[in-house]
Amino acid sequence: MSAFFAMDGYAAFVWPAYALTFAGIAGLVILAIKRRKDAESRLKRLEAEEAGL
Amino acid sequence: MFSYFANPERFERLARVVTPWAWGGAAVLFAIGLPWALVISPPDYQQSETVRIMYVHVPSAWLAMAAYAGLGVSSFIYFIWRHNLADLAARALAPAGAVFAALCLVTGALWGRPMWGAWWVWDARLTSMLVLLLLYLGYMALRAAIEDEKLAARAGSILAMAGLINLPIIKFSVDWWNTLHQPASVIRFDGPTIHASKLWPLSVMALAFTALLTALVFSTMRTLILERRAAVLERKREQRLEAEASEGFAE
Amino acid sequence: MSAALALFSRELKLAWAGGGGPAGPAAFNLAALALAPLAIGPDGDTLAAAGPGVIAFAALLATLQPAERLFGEDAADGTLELYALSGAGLATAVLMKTLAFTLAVFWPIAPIAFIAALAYGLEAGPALILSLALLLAAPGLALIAAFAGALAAGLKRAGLLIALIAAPLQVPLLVFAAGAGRAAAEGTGLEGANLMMAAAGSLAALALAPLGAAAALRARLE
Repeated sequence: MSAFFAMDGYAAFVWPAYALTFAGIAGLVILAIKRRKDAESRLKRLEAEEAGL
Repeated sequence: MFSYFANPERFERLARVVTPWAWGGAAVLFAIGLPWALVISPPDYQQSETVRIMYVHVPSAWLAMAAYAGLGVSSFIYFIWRHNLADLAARALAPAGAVFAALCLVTGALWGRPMWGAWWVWDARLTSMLVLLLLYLGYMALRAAIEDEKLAARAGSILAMAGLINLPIIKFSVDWWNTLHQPASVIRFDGPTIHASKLWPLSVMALAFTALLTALVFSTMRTLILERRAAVLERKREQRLEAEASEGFAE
Repeated sequence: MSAALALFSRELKLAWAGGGGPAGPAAFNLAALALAPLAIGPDGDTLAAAGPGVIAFAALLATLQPAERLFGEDAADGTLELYALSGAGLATAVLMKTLAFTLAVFWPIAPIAFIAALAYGLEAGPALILSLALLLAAPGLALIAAFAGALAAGLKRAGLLIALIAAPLQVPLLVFAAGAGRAAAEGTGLEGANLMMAAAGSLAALALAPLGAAAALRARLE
């Protein structure tokens, strides 16, 4: 198991590469979801206001 | 074909089907591809375990290029036929493509350090990717600087097309520039000689990245449609408030 | 054609006299070239090796410097509408304006490159080749800067935006122009090919950049 994490001495390169890729992808996904939720709630509020008139 | 999907309702129906499948597909493919890339696939006899960086580096490079091709093509469709959905696709593709280009560069540096002994070498491929990242940044900066949405879409589409036309020329010039001073110790990273034990996990990871990009683009396009609808309602509301205010004055 | 020629001569006069003419970009070019050795160090061999690249890069920066005012003022004062309505057509107007601007404002790039190359320790022959290469590349560099200027016309912080948009598109011309100088200095025999490529890049920009710039300006008029 520790051999797996050591990556034959290249742990300092392999793991950051995967971590940064994960961070980049997670950032894209989280921003996309957040933006969707914001847009949905904003639209819902505006539509409710429209219907309430 | 795109005029068929230019209909927003038809797109909505398509997106409703594609988006969850793409998210699910990406999750499944990553669940298969990551253990394959990190554990099952053998270390390289020359590059040892660092070869595992390839499984995120190369798909990032492919996706960065594919996203720019998509950006250029949808910009062309928008420029000629003025289909709004093509513009939404362009807007959704740009930030994702830029992130993949940046990831390609960073993982390339992390791979280059142990293999080339340098964080960065002015290798033709890396340099082209750097220029591609600049093209993405210019595109996004231009769109962000223009307030009028229609004008931003038009200007953006023109710039993306110019970038797409220029990209092969840039690639050619960078190759040309690089061959004048070919560093001797460059290890060939990819190419057709790659062994099947590496090609399989690489393909799975590439598919996972592609599914992820598909999900992101469809999801963002739907978000942009919602935002546009909200903006219309907001404008209506402002007009209503203004009308009420002027009535108030009249009384 | 006569409308285009009239436009060309009018723009030539305006660019020559207005806004300091060639003085601004030339001063910018010279300042960059004067400062670079202070950053690189006084070692003669290093400077001679870096010379063609630094000089070509300074020329590129000089073409970016005035790009903001090329169409920014036209967009603001309504000259664009006149161009669009003139018989010549917007793309021709853009081409004439940019060519006149290049001729009037960027001509010092070539002599500056020659003098700077000598000052950086290149022989007269390679210095002349580099100067010629930049003469061939300058129209292309200027046209791409003009295209970026048309896209960013009238925007806040347009200068920054123009640099970001134009720089990646100018990469090939930079490579070929500097490459010609380096090939001549190093005696690799590739200067002819690089000069041809620089000229080809300028011709491609000549064909495409006015169309792109005109499309960008037309979008603004609608």
